Amino acid sequence: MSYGTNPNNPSSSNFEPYSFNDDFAGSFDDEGASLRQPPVQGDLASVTIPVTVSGNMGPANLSGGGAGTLKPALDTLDEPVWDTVRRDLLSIWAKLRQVLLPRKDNTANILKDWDLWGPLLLCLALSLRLSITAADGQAPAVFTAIFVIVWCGAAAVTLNSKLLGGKMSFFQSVCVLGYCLFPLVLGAVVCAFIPLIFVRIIVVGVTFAWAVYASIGFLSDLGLEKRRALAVYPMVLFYFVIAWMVLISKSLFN
Amino acid sequence: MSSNYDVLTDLDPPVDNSPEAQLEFQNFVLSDEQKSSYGKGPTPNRGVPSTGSGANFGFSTPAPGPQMQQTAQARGGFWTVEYYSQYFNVDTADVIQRMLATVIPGRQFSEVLGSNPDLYGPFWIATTVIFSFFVASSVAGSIAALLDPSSTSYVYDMATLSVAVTVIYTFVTVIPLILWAVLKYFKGPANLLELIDAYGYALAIWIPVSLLCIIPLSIVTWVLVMVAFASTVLFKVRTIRPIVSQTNDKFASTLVLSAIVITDGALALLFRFYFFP
Repeated sequence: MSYGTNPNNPSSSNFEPYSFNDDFAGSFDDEGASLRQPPVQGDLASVTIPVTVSGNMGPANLSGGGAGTLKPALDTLDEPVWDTVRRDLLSIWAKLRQVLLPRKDNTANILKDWDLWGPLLLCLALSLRLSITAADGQAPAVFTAIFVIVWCGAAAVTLNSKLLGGKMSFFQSVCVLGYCLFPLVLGAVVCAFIPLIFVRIIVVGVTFAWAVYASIGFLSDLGLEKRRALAVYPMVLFYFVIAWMVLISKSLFN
Repeated sequence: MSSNYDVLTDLDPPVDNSPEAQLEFQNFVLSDEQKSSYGKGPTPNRGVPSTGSGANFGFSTPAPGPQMQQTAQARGGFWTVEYYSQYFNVDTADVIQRMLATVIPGRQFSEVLGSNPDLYGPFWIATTVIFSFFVASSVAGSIAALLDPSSTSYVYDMATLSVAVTVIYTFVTVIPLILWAVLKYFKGPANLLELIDAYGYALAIWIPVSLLCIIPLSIVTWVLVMVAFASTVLFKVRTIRPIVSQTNDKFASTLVLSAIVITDGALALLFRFYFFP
């Protein structure tokens, strides 16, 4: 395939500034991408100047997690779907474990690789659980309210930290706030089976404190000295509102 | 503005023209004092934006002196996030001081704000008030259901949250906007951000009041609501009366001040009758 050939006389090679090697077109017919180097034509005296193309020419990485890092050497098109899904579920689970047992040493590493699947799953779980036991006719309203509170609340808290001068990336912060909902989701599921208000207060209180402690641990290195309370308060308010919605929801038994 | 351009300002660094100096290596880099003296210029206020009086919308761009130009460009347009970070330039102590200034009569609120009105206070205080209304309403409802032997278990009403959101956010944004528009119509000095700050910080008293209204005695509720209403109205009248009196228009004064009293009263009544039936 030549660029710039005379269409009337394809055999004429008077004006051929670029000529793509045939291998360039051929690599699209292969299944799965592979690194393909067209052979270099080293004849400097010829008019044609081959363009060497290198790099992974295949389709984009199709793993469903949308993880932040590319894995150029991994070919995910041929593997079973379950493997792809399992890899992302394991990554979500690793982050949830990080939230459950916040450790000081590697807090920065795992959540830099942000994804929004975990927060979405947690938000859906929470909204479903709270709308199941809502008042008559209010189940859609409760579902919507929880959904909006979680996403708009996370966005508002993140914007607040950024505007006060914090240095966290937007989606990373939303990811952290979403993952730190995990204790509250656990608390909501547990509270579904406890009709006694005093036990619920204890359960919700513990999970609320846990969620706040985890999120402050992740978002603590923002570089705000005299404004720490201003940055932390919206986080506390966010988790308090969600904890309150969990507390006042009915259980399955009354 | 024309007075700023009457005086020629020499922007070149001073050059030593003596024969000995001409042969030497001359330093043309401005020292810090020289830079700051060029910025000040003939009128000291040329580079400083005025946000106290003067009819600016809160989106004022400062008259650029050399050191001001950098900050104006770094902020970007009003569609970027960085532009709004200038309105979040407060510390914890500032926010607390401003909240206390709405309840404790002392300095004028515009003095407390200085030249630094913020958006952090109004937004987060309004959000907290919304949720404290909702929390107090649901707790009071469940206590009433507990005390009333005829009713079954209480289920919270989600609609109160939606109503609270609408009412409070409108109260903090639309009413200051209307007041600002009225003041501008009557050619008075008005700063929208200061009005929003006044309304936002004044809501702070409703947080403890709403939580105390959980007590199921109706007389307690009435007293608390009266106290909150009186406090907010007095604060706003004290803050806005000097602004509106500068229009020298009796009609404008009565209009604005009665609008403040009416809207605050409406909020208090809504609180008393809708959230705590």
